[in-house]
Amino acid sequence: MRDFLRLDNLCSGYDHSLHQPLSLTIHKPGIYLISGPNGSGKTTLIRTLLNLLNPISGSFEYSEQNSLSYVSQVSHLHSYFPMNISRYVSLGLGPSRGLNQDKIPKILEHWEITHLAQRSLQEISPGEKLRAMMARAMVSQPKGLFLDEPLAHLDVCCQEFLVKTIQDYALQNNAFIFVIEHHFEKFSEYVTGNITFGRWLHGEALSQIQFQQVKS
Amino acid sequence: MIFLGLFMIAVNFGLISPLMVLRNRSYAGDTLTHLMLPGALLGLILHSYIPWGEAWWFSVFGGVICGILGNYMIEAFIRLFHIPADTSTVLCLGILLALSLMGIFYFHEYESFYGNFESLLMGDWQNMTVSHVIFIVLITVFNLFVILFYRDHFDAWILDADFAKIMGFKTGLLEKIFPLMITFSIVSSLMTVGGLVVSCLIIMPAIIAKPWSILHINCILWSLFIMVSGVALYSITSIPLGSVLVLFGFFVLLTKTLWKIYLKQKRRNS
Repeated sequence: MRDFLRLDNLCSGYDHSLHQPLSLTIHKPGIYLISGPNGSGKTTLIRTLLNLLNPISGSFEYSEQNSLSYVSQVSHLHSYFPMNISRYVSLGLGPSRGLNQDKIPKILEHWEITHLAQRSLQEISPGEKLRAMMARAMVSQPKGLFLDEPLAHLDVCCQEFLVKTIQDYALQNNAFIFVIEHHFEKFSEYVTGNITFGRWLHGEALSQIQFQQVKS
Repeated sequence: MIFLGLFMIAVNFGLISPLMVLRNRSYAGDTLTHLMLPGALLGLILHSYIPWGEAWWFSVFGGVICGILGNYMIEAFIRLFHIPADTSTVLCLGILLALSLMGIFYFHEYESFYGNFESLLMGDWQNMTVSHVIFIVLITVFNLFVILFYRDHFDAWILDADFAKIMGFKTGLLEKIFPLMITFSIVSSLMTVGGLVVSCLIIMPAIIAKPWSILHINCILWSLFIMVSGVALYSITSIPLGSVLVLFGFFVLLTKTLWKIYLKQKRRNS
């Protein structure tokens, strides 16, 4: 099996590294849980892996030109832009979206938001917003998907729906899904790997960062 | 020719308005107008010494230079004094306005300067020259092409800059081109509608139309409606055009909102 992502002593942060150097190789498709205390650098790490930030030191490499996508926290969504859901999701196809417009109805149906297609982003609930964000992130069928606290605004039933949907997606498309979440205990059976951040204070590691492949 | 100039200013404001409002840069527009003022004044002072061609070219040139310098000053102050961005902006505005006041104090006796200065603040659309109209047309056409060509890029960038960057939208280019579009739009209309109201006037169409995309025909139509009504009202009242446009725009916004509330109430009752 080919490696998807290789990290070599990677340190991410803004002025200084927020975590210890991280080295790991990811080659098995599935869900990878990123957990750890607040401020330990989880979001900063995925922003670095998405090329939104430069690494402080070390490096990372994707095996090939992989398509990546990202779902930020719902609270980061623009609060005033009254764009309708259909157009919002279509932006997930990237600049050449005109060629793949037929994917929009399918992904809306998949995430059970077809009835919201013409509604504005401002008019829907946080849970529905998250579904729209997931649809936008997955419409281009990315190989790597990064989710930042996706369960925060969902009820138990919707949490289960989301986790099962991304699990199916990962298996069907050989995709790699990285999920930052504080409470994923209920869904531990779906997890392929765990990246657990340790405590890190004033440049000193209070506990180690760990990577663990869970399923064989 | 004058009416073509006003028509193009209205179209340009309709184009730029969603960009300013949806990108949360309404206040930046106002800041930019104030930043440009000392440069525009300096241009007019220069023109009163070297009365070459038309005064507005001098004010446009000075305004653009000062707007760009002001932006750099804000960034430099943030780093130098370790202060927040809004504090640095107010500090820069204060310094540049103080310089403007000094300019006015020392040069107000020059009649040509004072006349042009008044135009800069209050607007002087009746004396628009052919070259000024051509300048406004060029800026509007440029903005129209950029927005038409990069509409999806703008929408994606404004909605979620990180996601847009990951998906390959041209966020870097937009970050560079956006301040230029705003700067030239403001500076091209400063002497027409007046520096005191231009920033408010630019945001009005988007507040009224509530656009769902960066290119929204309703914004342009509302902007044209305000401009036509404003000119008509001016011809009756002779109140400065900029003031009429802003007050009429606000009247339209209020009427539209109250009408919506009335319809909602009516629907609920029935």
